Amino acid sequence: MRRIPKLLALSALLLACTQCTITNGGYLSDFKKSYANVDELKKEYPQLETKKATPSAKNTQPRSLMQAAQPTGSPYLKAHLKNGHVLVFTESWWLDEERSLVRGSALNYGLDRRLVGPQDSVAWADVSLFETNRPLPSNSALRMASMTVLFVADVAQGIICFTVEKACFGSCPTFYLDDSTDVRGADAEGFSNALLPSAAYADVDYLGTREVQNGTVSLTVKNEALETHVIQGLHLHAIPLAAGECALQGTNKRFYRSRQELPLQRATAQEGDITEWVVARDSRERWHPASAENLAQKEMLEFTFDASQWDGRTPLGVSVDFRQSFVTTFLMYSAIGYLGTDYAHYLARAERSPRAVNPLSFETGIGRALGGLEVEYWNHQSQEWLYVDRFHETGPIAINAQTLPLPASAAHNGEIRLRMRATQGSWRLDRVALSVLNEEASPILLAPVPSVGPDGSAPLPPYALEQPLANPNAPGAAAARINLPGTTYLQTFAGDLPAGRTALFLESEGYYLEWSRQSWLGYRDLSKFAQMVYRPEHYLKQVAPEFKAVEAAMEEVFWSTKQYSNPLNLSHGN
Amino acid sequence: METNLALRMLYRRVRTIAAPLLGVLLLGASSCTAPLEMKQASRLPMYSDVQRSPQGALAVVYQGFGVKIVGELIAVDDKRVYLLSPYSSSSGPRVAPTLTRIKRSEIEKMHVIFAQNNTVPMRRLATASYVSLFSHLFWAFVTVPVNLLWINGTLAHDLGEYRMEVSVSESARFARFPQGLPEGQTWETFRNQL
Repeated sequence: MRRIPKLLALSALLLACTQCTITNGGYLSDFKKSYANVDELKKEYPQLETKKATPSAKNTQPRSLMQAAQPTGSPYLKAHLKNGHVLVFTESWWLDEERSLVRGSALNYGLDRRLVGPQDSVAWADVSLFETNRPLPSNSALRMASMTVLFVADVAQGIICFTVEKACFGSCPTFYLDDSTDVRGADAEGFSNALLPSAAYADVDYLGTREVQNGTVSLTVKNEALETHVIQGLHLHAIPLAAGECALQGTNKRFYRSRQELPLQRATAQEGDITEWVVARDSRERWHPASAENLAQKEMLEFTFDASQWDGRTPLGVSVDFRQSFVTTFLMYSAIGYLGTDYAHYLARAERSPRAVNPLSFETGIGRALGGLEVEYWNHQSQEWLYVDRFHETGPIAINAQTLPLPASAAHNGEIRLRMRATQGSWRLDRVALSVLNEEASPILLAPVPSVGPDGSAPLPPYALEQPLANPNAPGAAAARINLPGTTYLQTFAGDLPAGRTALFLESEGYYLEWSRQSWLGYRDLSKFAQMVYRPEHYLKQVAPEFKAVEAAMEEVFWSTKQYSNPLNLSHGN
Repeated sequence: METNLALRMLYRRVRTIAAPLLGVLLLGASSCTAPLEMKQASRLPMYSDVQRSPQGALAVVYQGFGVKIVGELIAVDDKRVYLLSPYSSSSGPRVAPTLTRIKRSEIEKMHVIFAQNNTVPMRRLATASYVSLFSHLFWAFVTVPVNLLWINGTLAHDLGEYRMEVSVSESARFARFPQGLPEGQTWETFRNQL
């Protein structure tokens, strides 16, 4: 981005130098010729005695095709009169030998060169000087192209000033059950909220259902972005499943078995019917662009389920497959940009402060302003919408599958109506379902076994620090693996797990440090950061247009800037 | 802390608009210092119409020490060059002209500009470029002078297409009266008739 102004400046200097060269018109020295009398004119244009001359009006000849001055037989003619007037012959003209006149259609201009009127002839004797002209070419196309280039560069610079740098790949550790190289296929992303050591927490993500053999499950762990990952713990929670059964992760940190789903009758949002988008887990997500006036603007989605097949007793839960959009990514990177070169300093200060603010926390600041997926149900008795709880999981990469238990009063006459209040543009929904929570499940814990490097060579130490910490007694200090960008390895988990179809949930604990980018350093603005933290509602209105300018492009830019095969390759374009 | 943040916010707002405002000031200043002939050249006939124009070319007479006189070339005689300033087209509004007589011995060099291109599309693009500079915010400190140089350079280069350096004697044919002052006229009577 910084190269563009330099290139523009250099080009402009070169171009400005052309102001010094002014003899472009030298090649036109003969476009105007003078004749003292009619005899000289006849000598130059002998055809004029017998033919009418019709001035040619082809003025678009390129310079290279212009011929040297030659009698054309059809020059433009001006007759400068002795009294100071000038006759300009605009159409055909000829010489009348009998009457010694120049005849034709002319316009008479006075001493002050104001139009006197038309005149159709002039006596040779009244003419002081004849003048002929030939058409002039023009080469303004190149200059027009030059101005167009400048205009396009100016507009591009304006866009670049606000956009591309914010759309860079970032995440947290990504985990793959299958060996996929496409980050869109990541099965889980761990502790996306933990931007500080003090913000470390345990995050549980549904990985999917697999056929497990020999009581072992392997995952590929990757650091695919410009971040430092500190993984303090990894465990798998496994729930063996019977036929026709699935396992659900509750928002209350419990697990459930479910053998029945109640059908979704209708789902609506501001754009109309969205049922087809959320009825099945098919990677077709419902999403609406963010508001251009306020990133915190809310929208309502309503869901109607057919509960006629429900027994009326077994608890129910609303199961949602969802992930965030890039709003929080944009805001997080903006925050880092605002801190500029002081980013690390403020991180360290936040760690020492008892009132450290996690900007992505759903409890404070921007996180609270944006909120999660707030779930309400229609209570037929009180005829009102009642709040239940919310889904809140940070991360735009892997889809989260969670279930929020509902109160028994949610059902009525075989119909259950739910609605979600969400920040417009912040959430992508793949599936919304109503699950019967047949029973709670106690998962089997699988612990990590010594992992191996990507080439299958000697096993890596299990989450041992590569360098001793200053305080080895700090929580998690003795069991933390630090992964730098580009790290990838296979992590195997083992436990007393029966073979067969098993639902897997990954519990990851730790935190990560997002790296700043060279191109972000120019955005340092502590007042903006303060606004983001202390006046988030106001900030989200101010920054909405900036985000809207990049919203559509962020998806493509985000996924294309993944860092995977070259660790520490900071030249990949940020 | 709150006061400090408030001051920072105010500074940020001022800085955000300061760059484009400074750019506007520079633009205004640049127009004041643009070559004198560029303004008058805008009244020259288009290159496609110069054959039908009854007026003389725009002359730029350099007298040394940075002295430059610009105006329509009226006539050239043995001793002097006569210019009428400012240049006004035959169909344009009447302006009060000044007739300037310059001794040939005091002329260092001379240019004539006898036509112009249709720069309206170029000027519209230039205007659009200037407007877009407001979106550059902080970077306007760099892009405004770049745009000034580029646009003025391009327009000046455009003007140069029909600009020639000529000797005083050669310049006569580009004058309004290439034959010299009309018979029976003096410069005083001619000036009074304008």
